[in-house]
Amino acid sequence: MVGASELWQQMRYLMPEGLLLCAGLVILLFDLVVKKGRSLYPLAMLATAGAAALALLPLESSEPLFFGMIQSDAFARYFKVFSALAGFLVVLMSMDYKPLPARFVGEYLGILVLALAAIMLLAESTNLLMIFLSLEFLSLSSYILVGFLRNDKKSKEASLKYFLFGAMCTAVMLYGFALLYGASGSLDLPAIKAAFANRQNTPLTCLAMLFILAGFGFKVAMVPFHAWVPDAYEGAPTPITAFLSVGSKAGGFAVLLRVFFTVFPGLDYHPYWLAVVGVLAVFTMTVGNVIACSQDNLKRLLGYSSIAQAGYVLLGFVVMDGRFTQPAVMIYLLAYLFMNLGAFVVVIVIANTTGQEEIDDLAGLSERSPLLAWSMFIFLLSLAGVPPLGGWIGKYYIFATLVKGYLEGLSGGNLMLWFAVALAVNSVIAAYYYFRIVKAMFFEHARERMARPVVGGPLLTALYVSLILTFAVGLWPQPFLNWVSRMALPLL
Amino acid sequence: MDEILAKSAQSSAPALWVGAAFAVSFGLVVAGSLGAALLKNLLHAVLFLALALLGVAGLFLMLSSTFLFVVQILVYVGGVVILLIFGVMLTSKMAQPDIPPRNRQTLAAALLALLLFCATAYVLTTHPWMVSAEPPAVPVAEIGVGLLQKYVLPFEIVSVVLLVAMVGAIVLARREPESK
Repeated sequence: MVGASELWQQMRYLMPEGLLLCAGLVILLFDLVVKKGRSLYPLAMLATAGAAALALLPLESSEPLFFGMIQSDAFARYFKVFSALAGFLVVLMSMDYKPLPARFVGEYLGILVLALAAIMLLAESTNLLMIFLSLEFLSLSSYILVGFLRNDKKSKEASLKYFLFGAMCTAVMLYGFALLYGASGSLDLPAIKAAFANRQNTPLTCLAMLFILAGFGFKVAMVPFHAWVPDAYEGAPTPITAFLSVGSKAGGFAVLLRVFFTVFPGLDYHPYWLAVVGVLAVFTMTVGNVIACSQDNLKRLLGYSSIAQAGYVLLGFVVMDGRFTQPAVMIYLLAYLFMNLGAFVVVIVIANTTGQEEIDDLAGLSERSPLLAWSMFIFLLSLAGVPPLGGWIGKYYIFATLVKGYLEGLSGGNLMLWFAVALAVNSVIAAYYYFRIVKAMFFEHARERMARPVVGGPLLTALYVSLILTFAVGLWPQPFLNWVSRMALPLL
Repeated sequence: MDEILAKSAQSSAPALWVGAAFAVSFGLVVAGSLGAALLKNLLHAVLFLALALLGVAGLFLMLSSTFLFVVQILVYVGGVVILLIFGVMLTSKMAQPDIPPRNRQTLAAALLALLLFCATAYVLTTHPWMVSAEPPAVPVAEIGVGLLQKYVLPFEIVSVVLLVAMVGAIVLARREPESK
């Protein structure tokens, strides 16, 4: 029996999410007292910045905490930093986002901050119950945040669709959990692994993992669980779109990595399983890229682009080798965080100026606001994977991982070469629609009535932070790579 | 089914009765779910859902999880279904029985569901399940201790999740003052 004092000791590993949970509740409470919702922004910024600082403290433990519910190791700490950083930028982006109803700012910020804590919990869960709970926590807050534009029919529709898809995927995932529990007799991931280690695997475990993949795949927007993305991304308040595309996706990948690396080394179904994931990844990026080509709405386009990006990251999972997979996935997500948030900052400025989010609204942006046009250009280049930007480093590592897997003769090596080819082909398709935006910005003339976009302080800060870090990850990747490899899960 | 029969042999209840009880629970679940998914009238669908939930409670009882049996009836049949009925009755548009439960994709969805069912059924029936010698009876006191020991973290997180759900429901469903 673990005593109360010992639990109290363990609490110190939960400081970042503890701070966010408290801050979320305090914001909800303050909202009752303070009449002006805007005064809550500094509080939310302070909380996210504080959580990031706390997460950077080298407080980690490889011991299971809270009776094996969570494990606050370096890997979890990486995603805590990630989530707090993303949260900070999203709060900055929300400050100047005009369509957000002023009376709901308190609820909006409170739920947003709590959702960040949910991502942190998700990244450190080592028990199926805890995984389910934090995943639902994140999903529920996301459904609500998507529907915050009360007067916008699209926002309501997006929220409902997102909820219905989510409920379905969660139900399937839960069934998978039940099967896994039935097959192993435990909810703790290490115990499940131990149960599989000394027993021949059955089709049951495969079926269970497939069902579980539905739930995680929904979070990371993997085909065929991607159908909610375009509508939810278009209808949601733009900062929330950015949050979904970065924060909640990273949470999904974190839990996917942990489950894969904790449970899978014991499974014999490896090669087949990797082929399944690889084919799904290729489908994911192809579907995302091909449909993105015909989109005219910026948020929808970036939505499909984010499906494609999820496909690239998933390819990293095909080489289930700890030395390669984890750093590749983690560095990709880091680069993706900055370039994608940056692109959404530009979308917010455009929407504030013209009231719309179509590609046409970017026409002649290079004349109206060179800063915005060039920043967007950089972000798009990075998303397309052009050197020497952050996105290129990420894509390079995924690609190199596949080729290395092939050269080292890992199981399914030939398949990996084909996956690498698919990645290259898809990058070309993606370049087409990213450059459609560039063409509108630089080679088309502005319509007469278009105003010059005005960028306020918070948005400008978010823009510069994203810009600098997109360059930094690309030009000076070594410190980031060192950091990421240090934070990877220990090999089993 | 086999496990249940094996257990019943130990608890010295006649296998026939157990089989009959299982068949009733099973029938309730299947019929209730079909009704909930296919009926046009939303109120009828909710009532069928209550039947399905009752059937699940019956399955819990047969697995000798008496506590779950009680909670299932109290919370789901007694609480959730009543709330659903209120929801349907208070929402004027929903109470009208003209919302089609089917669309163009019904056939494809049904085929896919059937395929999934066959695969799952095959896997579940061929798997060598571990059958525990005695029913895992969990006393209520142990559940209470568990909530403050092993499950203390999930227990606390659930409270925040419920808070978020409540705040969110109010934000999404509250009538705008402008539209009054």
